[in-house]
Amino acid sequence: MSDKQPGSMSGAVAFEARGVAKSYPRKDGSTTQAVGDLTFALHKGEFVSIVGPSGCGKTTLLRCLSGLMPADAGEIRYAGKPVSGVVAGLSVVFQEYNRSLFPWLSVGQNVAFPLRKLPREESHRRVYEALLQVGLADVPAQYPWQLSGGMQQRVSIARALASQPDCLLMDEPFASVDAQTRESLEDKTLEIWAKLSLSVLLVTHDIDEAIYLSDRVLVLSRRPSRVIGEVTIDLPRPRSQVETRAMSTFQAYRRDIHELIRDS
Amino acid sequence: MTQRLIDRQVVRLLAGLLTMAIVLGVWEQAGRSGSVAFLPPVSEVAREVWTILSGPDLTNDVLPSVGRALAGYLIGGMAGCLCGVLLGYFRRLEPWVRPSLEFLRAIPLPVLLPIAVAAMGGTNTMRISLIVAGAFWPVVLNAEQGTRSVDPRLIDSARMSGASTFEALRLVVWPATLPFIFAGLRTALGIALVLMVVSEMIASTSGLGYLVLQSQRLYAMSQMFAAVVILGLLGYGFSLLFNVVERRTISWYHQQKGLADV
Repeated sequence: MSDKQPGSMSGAVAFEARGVAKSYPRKDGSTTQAVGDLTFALHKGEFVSIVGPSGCGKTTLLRCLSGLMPADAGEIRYAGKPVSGVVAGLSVVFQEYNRSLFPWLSVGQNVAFPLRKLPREESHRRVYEALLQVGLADVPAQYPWQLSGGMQQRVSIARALASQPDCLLMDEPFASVDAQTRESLEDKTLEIWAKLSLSVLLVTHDIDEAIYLSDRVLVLSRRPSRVIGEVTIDLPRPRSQVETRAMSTFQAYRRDIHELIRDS
Repeated sequence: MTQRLIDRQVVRLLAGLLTMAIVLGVWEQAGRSGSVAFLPPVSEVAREVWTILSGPDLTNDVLPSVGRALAGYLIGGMAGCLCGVLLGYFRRLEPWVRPSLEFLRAIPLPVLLPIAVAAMGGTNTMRISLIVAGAFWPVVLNAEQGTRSVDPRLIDSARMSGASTFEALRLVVWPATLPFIFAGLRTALGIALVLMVVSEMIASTSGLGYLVLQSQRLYAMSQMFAAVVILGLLGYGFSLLFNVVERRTISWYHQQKGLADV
């Protein structure tokens, strides 16, 4: 854990979305407006979560933000430059680790995948470092499906870190693991975030998780989604699963965000 | 491996051999008694198998057959992989070729034989072409289906790791499709052998299919049965070889499915 304080970011913008909209065609020929008019900024070194009611187009949003899918309208800027397509320096951790790790590659080969253009030794070194970050330096020869769910998700975090990004997008990364694993993954994420000075944008439906991890929580409306509220989380860091969650301010944040979502 | 597991495998092996021994015994008896018309005893057939495999028939009939089957199978299989993966990955191609594919694959393959003979004569090219056509279909259909069922999350992951469209095809779609391709190749193997025999029964002067037909015409019954036995051994051998290659190539798939040691 670091002693990093919220608001310690320099104020420079790492990632920015302005007026982003996206709709997709349905089978009957009509279109669904998934993302309405979305504007927000992620500052350098900041940990921001996006929460919203289920079906608020979170996955669509994330695919737009990561450059996997072009937005219909608006602009996405990464480090001041407009994004069109996948950007180096930006990594994604998907929710379904078992669907995003390559089952025919070992853990080490999976983590090395983004590094395939680097010299072998450099790649080996970075794979080792990334696995060390997530506490899995001892399993590079195993296959992902030989590991538990929590370990697999740590492998996908390691793969995201291997390219040494400065911005991490996480799509409900802890949704498919058990409660205890989830807590340890949350703390591991905070530890890595602080240590590597990452900017993290986490998409989740879990309000407690968003509060526990973030400097700021953005609340989305139902489809077509837009930001309907922003809550700055002023809880001391390092955070603790037991103490932080027991604080009265934590409870107050939770109530505020619940109300925002309910009224959306 | 535990002692118990070994015991069980020994029992299984013995049971299989026992059944085989009974069948061969009945065959031998029926052959000797002459109660079944034109059925030679199995011992005579076995001697004939040896004669074929150790004599000029090996190079005249057995090896040409093996060569044709392998050449046709490999060419047809590779063409099927390539077409299937491209068709599955670049979906825009599909509406252009789908109706033609559906029509062509509905044609029963042996009927192509007279057409092939008319076009190419009784040549090796004709026989290999027929096998190519037969091996192609199961592979192309499986490869296409496999490619289409690759999880889009895997492709997303590859693209987030800086992979181009072609790299995603080569490094992700291809390995993810291999289990489907192998399923197609397995079906194609049987078809290739059938077409090999059929193609050697028309306008031919060599091959196991030719040998079977020729022996029958000359009432050389032991030789006819011996050729059939060799065809069986050949099919079995190809199948074993196929299993080895498959295990090596997609061991991750079988292990993941828990089928590694079946």
